[in-house]
Amino acid sequence: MIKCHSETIRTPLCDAVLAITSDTNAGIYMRENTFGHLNLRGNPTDKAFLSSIETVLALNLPLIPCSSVRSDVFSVYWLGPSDWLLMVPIGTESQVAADLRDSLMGQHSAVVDISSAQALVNLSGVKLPELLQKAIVYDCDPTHLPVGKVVQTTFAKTGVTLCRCEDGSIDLIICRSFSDYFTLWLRDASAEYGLAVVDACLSRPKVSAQT
Amino acid sequence: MSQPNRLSVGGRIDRSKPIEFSFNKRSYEGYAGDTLASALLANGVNLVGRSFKYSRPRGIMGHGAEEANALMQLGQGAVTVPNPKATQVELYSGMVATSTNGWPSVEFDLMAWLGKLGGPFMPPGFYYKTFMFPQAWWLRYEKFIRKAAGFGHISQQPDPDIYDKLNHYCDVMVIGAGPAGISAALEAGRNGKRVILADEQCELGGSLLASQQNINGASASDWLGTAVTELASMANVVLLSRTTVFGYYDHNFLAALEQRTDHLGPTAVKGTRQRLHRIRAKAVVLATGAIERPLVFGNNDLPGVMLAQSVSAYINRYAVVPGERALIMTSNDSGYQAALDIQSAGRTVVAVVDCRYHAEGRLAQMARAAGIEVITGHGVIEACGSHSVTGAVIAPLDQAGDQITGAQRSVSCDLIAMAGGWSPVVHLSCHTGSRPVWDEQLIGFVPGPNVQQQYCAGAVVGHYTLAHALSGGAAVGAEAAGAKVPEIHFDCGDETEAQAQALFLIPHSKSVSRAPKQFVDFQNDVTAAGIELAIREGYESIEHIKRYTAMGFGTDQGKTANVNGVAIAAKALHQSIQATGTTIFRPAYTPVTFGALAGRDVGSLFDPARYTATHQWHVAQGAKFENVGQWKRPWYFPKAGETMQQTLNRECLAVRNSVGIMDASTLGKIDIQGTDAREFLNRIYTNDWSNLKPGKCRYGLMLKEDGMVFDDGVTTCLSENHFLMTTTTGGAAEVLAWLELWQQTEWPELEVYFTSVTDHWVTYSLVGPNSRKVLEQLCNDVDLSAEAFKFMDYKAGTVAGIPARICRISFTGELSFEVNVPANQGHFVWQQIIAAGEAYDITPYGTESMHILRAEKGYIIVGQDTDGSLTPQDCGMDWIVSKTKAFSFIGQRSLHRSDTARSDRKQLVGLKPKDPAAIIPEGSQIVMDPNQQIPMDMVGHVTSSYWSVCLDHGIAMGTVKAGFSRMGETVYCPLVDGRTLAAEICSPVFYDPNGERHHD
Repeated sequence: MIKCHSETIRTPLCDAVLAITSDTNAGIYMRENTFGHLNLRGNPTDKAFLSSIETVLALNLPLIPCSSVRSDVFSVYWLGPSDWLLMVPIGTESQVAADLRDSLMGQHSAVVDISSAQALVNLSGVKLPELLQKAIVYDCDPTHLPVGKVVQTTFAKTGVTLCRCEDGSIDLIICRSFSDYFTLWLRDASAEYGLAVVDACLSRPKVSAQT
Repeated sequence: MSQPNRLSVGGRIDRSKPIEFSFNKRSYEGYAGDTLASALLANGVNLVGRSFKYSRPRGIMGHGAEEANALMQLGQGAVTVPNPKATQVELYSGMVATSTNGWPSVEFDLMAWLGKLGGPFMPPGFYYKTFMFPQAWWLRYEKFIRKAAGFGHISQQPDPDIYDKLNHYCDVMVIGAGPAGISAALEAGRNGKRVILADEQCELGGSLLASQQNINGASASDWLGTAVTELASMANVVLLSRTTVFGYYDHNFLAALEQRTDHLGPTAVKGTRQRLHRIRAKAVVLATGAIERPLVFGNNDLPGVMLAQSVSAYINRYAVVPGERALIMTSNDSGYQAALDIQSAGRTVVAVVDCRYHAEGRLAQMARAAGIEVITGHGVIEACGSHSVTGAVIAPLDQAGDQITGAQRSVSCDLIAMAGGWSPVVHLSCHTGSRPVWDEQLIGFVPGPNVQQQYCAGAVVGHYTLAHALSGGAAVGAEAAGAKVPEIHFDCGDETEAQAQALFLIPHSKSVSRAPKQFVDFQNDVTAAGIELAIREGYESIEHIKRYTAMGFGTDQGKTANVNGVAIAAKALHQSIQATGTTIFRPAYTPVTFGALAGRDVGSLFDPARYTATHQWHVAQGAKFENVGQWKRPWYFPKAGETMQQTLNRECLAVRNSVGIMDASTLGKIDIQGTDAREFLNRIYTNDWSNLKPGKCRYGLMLKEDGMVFDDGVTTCLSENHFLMTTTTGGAAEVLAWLELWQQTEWPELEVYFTSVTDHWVTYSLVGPNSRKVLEQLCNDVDLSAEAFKFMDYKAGTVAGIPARICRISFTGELSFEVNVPANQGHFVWQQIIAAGEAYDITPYGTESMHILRAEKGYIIVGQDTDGSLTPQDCGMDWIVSKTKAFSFIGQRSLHRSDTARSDRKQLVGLKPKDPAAIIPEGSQIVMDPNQQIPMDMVGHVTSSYWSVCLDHGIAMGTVKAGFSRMGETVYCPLVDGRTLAAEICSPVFYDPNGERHHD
C-alpha cells in the first residue's frame, strides 16, 4: 500500500472534499486503500484455466457465487460466472498481469488492468450498519453479508461492489468517475454520526459546483 | 393560566413541565405529554375549524388518526405544515397553530352564511350542476370556488428540512404497538428473529396507554413498561415509535414514515425531520387495531359530539374531561366505559342512551350500580346548539332502530359521547389487493384472505378484549417467527360484553332529506341525505357514490365514515353490506410529505455527476462545463473579458494554426479480447474488420436491428485477438450492455470477453499542426514522424515517463495524437503536456470548439445529427457499410426494407446560410416554400449549426427530404421571431475536403 498521492499519482479520492481527522468519537471511519486492480475473465469449467491461475497466484479462484478468497498478497472477488476481480499490491499489477497472461497463453481468457478505474474504500465504525441502511438497498446485516461475501449492488445512485472484511468493516469498490458523488453522499449520510477519514492523503478540496 | 378541563391527578402528562402555545392567535398552556387536541380540550377550546363545504363549526371528535375535523395549520413561513390532525400533534413549546379555514375567523365565518342559506340547496354535484352554463365560464367560476374550498396551505418557499430514507430487512414486521402488537413482537423477539415494531404514536402501547384494566395482576401501565423494557433490551428488535406504516406492497415490502423532529417544533430541528423506512419483511403482523364508529344523527357534527373511546382516552391518558354534563349514546357495551370514566373524573353523566332494548351486559350493570341513568331503546336523534352542544333530543326507537316510536324529549348537556361499534383498521391488508370481508357478528369489515405472508392480531380481526388481543398477538408472533405457539395465559378480569346492535343511521322525526344534517363523512361534509340522493340519481356502485359525494376523500380517507356510508348505501340499494362492498383503500394510510419520498436525492445529490481525472485543472482554468450524460465536460475555456464566441474563435484558430488539447477521457472504452473478437466486431459494426492489422485503428458505425445508427467510434487493434473499442460518451454503458446481450444470448459460441476500461484510461487529444512538436518533447521511445507513425496508427510507448497508448486519430481534420494513460497518472501527464506546449501557446479547448471543428469536416455526432431514425445511407455514409462480409451484421437486413431504400428519405446534408453572418438556430424546421400557408410542408430540420471562424461563415448540418438530390437548391428556415433564413444545400464537408491536413 502506498500513499494515495505522489508527484505522478493521484488516486480517485484525491480530490474529494475530505480532510483527514484524528476524531476518535466518529461513528464512521473511512479509508481509501490503494491496490492494483485486475479484471480476470475465463472459463471456470476449464481445469487448465484454473490451474494456470493457481500457478501464478498460489490460490484457487473462488467459484461459489458472491464469494472471495484472500492470501497474504492477493484477494480475489467473484463477480460473475466467468468474471473475477483480482487485487494485488499497488505497483505490481503490470507484472502480475504479465505473469497471468504468460501462464494463460493460448487459453480463452482476458486479464485487464483497471487499477485506475476504481477506488477501494473501507468503511467501519459503530454507526456502519445505519449508514449502509441509508445508502444500500441490499441487506448488509452480518447474518446476510458475512465475512468474505461479495455483492454487487448500488450505493445511492452509483454502482458498488461490497465485501465484508474479517474485522467487520466493509470494503466498497466504486467507479472512479463517481467518487465525488460517492464522497458527497457519504459525508451527507454520516453527518449525524460523525465521519473520520483515516490514512487518506487528500491534498486539496474539490470544487463540484459548476456555474 | 387555567386549564378548566384538566384533572388534578392522573394521566401520562407531566404537570411539572408546562408548555405554552398559541391557537388562532390566543395563548394557552398545556403540559408535556399533551397532544395539541388534548391541550385545547384542557383549555376548554373545542371550536377548531369550519367544515369543507358548508363552513359549519367543527370540534375535536377523536384522539388519533381517525380525527376528521381538527386539521391544523402548524408553524409559519417556510416550515409551515398544512393539515396535521391536532390529535396527532405532540405539543411543543412555542407552537403556533391556526385553523385551516374560517374567514374572517372560525367563530364568525362568512362562508357559513352561504352554507346556511345554501345548505339545503347544496346537494352532491352542486358545483357541477350550478356552474355548468355557459361552459366557457367554468374557468371563471372555478377560481372563486377553489378559493373557498380545501384546507390549509403549503409554503411557497423551498422546504428547509432534511428528509432521508433507511432500508430494513426483518423476519417479522409488527405494525401497531397496542397489546396485540407488543405481545407479537415479544414472542418473535424471544425466538431470536429480526423484528421491527412500528407504531404511529410517541409512546408504544396503543390502547394500553389509556387502559384501566389489570394484566396478570399488574396494571396495564406496569405490564406495558415491563414489556417495552424487554423489547428494548433485545438486540434483534428495532422499535420505531412516531412511525406510521402507510403502505403495504407486494412481496411484503412496506413503507413507513417516521416523524423524528416534528414534535420538537421547527426551531429545535437539527438533522432529519422525517425518515422514510423501506422495509422488506419475511412475515408481517398487522396489529393495527380498530377505530370507533360515530353514530349518524342530526347535527352530529356540532363541537362537543365525540367518540366515546376518545373521551375515555382524554380522561385516562391526558387527564382532560372535555365536558361538564355528558350524554352517552351507544349501540354496544363500550359506551358505558366512557360513562364510568366521566363519572370517575367527577363530572356529570346525564344518561346513557342505549339503542338496544336490553342492556344487561357487565359494563351496563356497573354503570347502573354507579347510579348512572340508562335509557334503553332510545336514540339521540338530534344535537342542539349553534357553536357547540347545549343539549340533545332523544326519542324511543323500534327494535331495528329505524323508526321513532314515541314522543321525543330534550335534555341539557355539553358533551355527547357516541359509541357506534368498531371498524377494524383493514387498510394495510387492503393495500395488498385483498378485499375486506363483512362480518355480521362483529358488525365490521375484517381483513380478507391473505395474499402474502401476513398475520393479524387484536382488534383488526375483532379480538376486542384485552386478553384476546394479548394471547392472539403472542400466538401470531410465534407463528410468524416459525416457532411453537407458547402457552401463555393472560388474566385481564371479566371482559364479557353483550351483543352489539348494527345501527348506522339514527332515524329522525323528519325524513332523511328534511332532517337536520346527519353527517357521515365529517371531513368532506357528506350526509346521509347526500348518499341517498346520489343513489336516487343513479349511482349504484360504491366507487361511484364515493366520487359523486366525496365520501372517503381527502386526508381522512373515510376512516370513520366508510362503514356507515356503505351501510346507508346498502340499505338504500336494498342489498347487503357485503354485496355493496367498500371502496378500495390505497396507500398512503395517512398523508406523507413529498420531502420524505424524495429523501436525500435532492440538490447536488439528485443525480451523480461524473468527473475526469483532470477536472481540477479545468476548474482552475475557469472552464465552463457542459453535461454530457452524467459527465461534466469542459465546454469552453474563456479568458478574462472574452465573450463565448470570442473564446470559441480563439480555440478553433489555435487548433487549426498551432496546437490545442482536449480532455476526451469521457469517451466510452471497452477492452475486447478473444479469438473471435474480430468476428464479433464484424457482426456489431457495419464495416469489415477482417483485415485490420495490429497497430491500426478504424472508425466504425453500429446499428440497431432496425438499421438505424446507434453509436460510433474508433476501435484499435492492439494485437491479433485484442481490441480497444471507443464509444460515444453518453452511449458507453448502453453499448457494453449491447455487446454482452448479443454475446450471451445470440452468439455464446464466440469466444470473446468485454471489460469496461472507460474509467481506467484518460484520453487527451493533442490536435493541430504543432501537436507532433509538443509530443516529441515528452516521448522518446516512439518514432512520431509522419513516415513511421501514420494516420490511424497506434503505438505503445511512454509519455512523460508514464506508459501510454498513442493513436493518430482525428476528429477535427488536423494532425493529432490521442494520448491514453492510466487515470491515476492522468493529471500529471496533462500538466507535462501543457508545460511542453507552452512554446506553441497550447490551447485547451472544450466540447463546443470540438463540435465546430468536426462540423467543419462534416463528421457526425451520434445523438445530435442522428436521432434513431437515420440509416448510414441517410447520413451519406454508405461507404462504411460492407457489402461483402460473410456473416451478416446487426441491422443489415433492415437496410433493404422498401422504406429504408426510399430515395426521398430525410438525408443529412450541409447547409450554407445565404447570409454569411447568419447562424441558423439548431432545431429550426426546413421548408422549400417560405410563402406557403401554415401548416407548411416541413422537409427536415437543422441538427448542428455554428459560426466557423476558419471559414468566416455560418455553417450548418441538417436533414432534408431527398437532400442528396437537391444539392445547390435553396431551403428556408422560418424562425419564431418572424425572420426566415435561406440556406443552400451543400456537402457537409466544409473544410479541407480532400483530407490533406490530418494525413500530414
